[in-house]
Amino acid sequence: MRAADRLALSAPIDAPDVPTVEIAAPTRRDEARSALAAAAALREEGVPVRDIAVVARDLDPYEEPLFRAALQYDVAPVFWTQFRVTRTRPYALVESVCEALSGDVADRETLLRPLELRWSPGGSGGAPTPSGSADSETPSGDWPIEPRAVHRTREALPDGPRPLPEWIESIESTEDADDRVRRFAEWLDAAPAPEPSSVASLLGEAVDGYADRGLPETKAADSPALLDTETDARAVVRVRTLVRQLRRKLADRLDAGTLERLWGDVAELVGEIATQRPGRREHSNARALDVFEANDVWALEVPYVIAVGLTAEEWPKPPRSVLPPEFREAVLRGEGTTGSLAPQPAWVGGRDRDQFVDALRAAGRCVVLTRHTRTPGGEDAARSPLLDHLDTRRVAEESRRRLVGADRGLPPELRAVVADEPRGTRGSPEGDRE
Amino acid sequence: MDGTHTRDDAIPDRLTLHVGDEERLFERARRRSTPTELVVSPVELHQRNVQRRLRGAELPTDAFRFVDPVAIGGRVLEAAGRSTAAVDRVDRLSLIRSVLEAAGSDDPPGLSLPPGASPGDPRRVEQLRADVESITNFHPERIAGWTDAATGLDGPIDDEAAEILDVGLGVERALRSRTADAVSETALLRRATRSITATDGSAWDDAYPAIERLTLLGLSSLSAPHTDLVHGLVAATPVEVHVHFREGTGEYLRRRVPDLLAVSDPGAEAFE
Repeated sequence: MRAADRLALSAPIDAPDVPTVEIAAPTRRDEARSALAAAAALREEGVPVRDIAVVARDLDPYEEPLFRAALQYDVAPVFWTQFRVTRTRPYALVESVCEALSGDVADRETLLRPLELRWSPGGSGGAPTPSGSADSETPSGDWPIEPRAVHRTREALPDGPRPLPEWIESIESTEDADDRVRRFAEWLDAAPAPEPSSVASLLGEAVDGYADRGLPETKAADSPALLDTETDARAVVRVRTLVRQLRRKLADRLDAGTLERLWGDVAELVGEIATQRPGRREHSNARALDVFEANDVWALEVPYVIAVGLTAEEWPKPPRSVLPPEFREAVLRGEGTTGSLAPQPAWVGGRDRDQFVDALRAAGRCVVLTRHTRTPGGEDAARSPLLDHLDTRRVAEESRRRLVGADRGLPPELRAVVADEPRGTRGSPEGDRE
Repeated sequence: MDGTHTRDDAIPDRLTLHVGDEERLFERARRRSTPTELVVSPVELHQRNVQRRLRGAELPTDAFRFVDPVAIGGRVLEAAGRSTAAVDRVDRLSLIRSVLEAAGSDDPPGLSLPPGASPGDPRRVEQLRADVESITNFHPERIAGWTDAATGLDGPIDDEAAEILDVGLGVERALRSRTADAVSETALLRRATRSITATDGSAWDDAYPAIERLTLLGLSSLSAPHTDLVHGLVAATPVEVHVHFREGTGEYLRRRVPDLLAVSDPGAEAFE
């Protein structure tokens, strides 16, 4: 009985009611291309894009190759993934402002970094203009400052760290320095010591400035699917939330005496909050191809599911645990008093098994399972043992090449499924059904 | 995914275990003026998937209230007029850092560092604390079970497993001495569980007067804190609890549930 409990975590998985098609490609990049080529070819056969979903156990190694492949096959993908705010421009802007204010001196790169990240004065007008300097001195009222102008200013400014007031003088006396840089430096110099309210308002102003004037630049340079704009806009929302959290947390930390009123400490706290609070990029676009992590497909219904990464190394891939394996095994067995301890099936790949089954069950018409056979280091990448539970129809290498090639021919295994589709259920290729 | 559900002697009457079978939920979708069923899923996007399915089938969602497990603890305590303040992970890590720094000083607070942990490694220590919490819910009988399990192992793994328990409990204790708030959101859930059993269910009734059924969806594990909440509910309230495990691990977990429920006084903890 107890042994049977443990075995239940490796019991056979019921094959789905729909056909399963397996595509093996040499490298991960080839695999991603095969997956997206299959999606594109299905679409050309009249399958609406909303009826297809790509699923990866872990999107990290697949996001980039899938994205490239999507461009190649003219598919707009939407990645439902942990949103890494720290990789976005609005976040980098907030961080760079804190860093420019950290310490008594800043070097020229640190000083100008926020401008490279499109710092613009918040609100409707310009930055506070101190007495004595008229607005007419500004060569251009446009924000953000063009990258070329920032570059020219950097070239013209002296090397070496110095305090902000000296930078302001230096900018004023340098002929080639853009006057908008001076206004920015004055804005920095006017920043009060970091208190919860002043930090929130200063950083909030930087985020507002970005939303008003930085974001439109992203949009202007974006592809028609506006993927970068979407990322940028979501990042603005997340960073605004982050600034609110920062205000509360800063107040707590100052009360507790665990943090000093220093911008360097604020910068560190910003990083701490940002890396602890993953959000999700939630976005639904009827013309885009959904790409999910496997944990998220539970209870979804999509006719065509394309699951990528079915190698022995990557799916299943039990998480690393701080507990010794022998102890985990004892808890999983649960003999005697140990039976009251809550086991985590994930220790032996249980969650990966669940996610694999979820991906199979989500499919209403067909599951395409892809894998690569070679690691980047040139070693063999073995087939996932999860595939042993299925009787897949394997696509020959020749058919796969035709699929990713110019004529994008559907492999016979997939063509059979599409041809089998009851008449009248196929939508238009664009398929805006929702 | 056929209707596999269990009602055997070891499972309380008002607890039903399913493997898969989420479609049952859709059969209960109907117009209601107030929700009568709490639908709880630990994965955020799963709630959205269920709602999308309901919308797609043009079924009403009025009968359901979608919540995450943590929110339940908060609401029960709030209705009882108790504090719901809890330390979040960012602050917990920073508190642990200071606990570890103090442990490295001349005046150790009875905390031995786990193998491989250094004062600069609060994440690893937090992982140990969270694992001990998720496996035992700090319940005295489960802590004894951990000790038994450790003793049954060969050396030196026996000592390592015992030490991990000590560190987990030691950090939890040290954290409690450093903050007036609950150490984690899981602690709120534990408090809520105790409050439900101690009031013979009236704490639950105050928080969720109209709820007749609680459905836990999409589980790949059943942590000790969640087990104890379920246990407390079926012991002290008239609420029907349905647990839907996922298909790949469901058979295993279903067989383990009777033993998981075999602790007295759910929500009790080893700290005085």
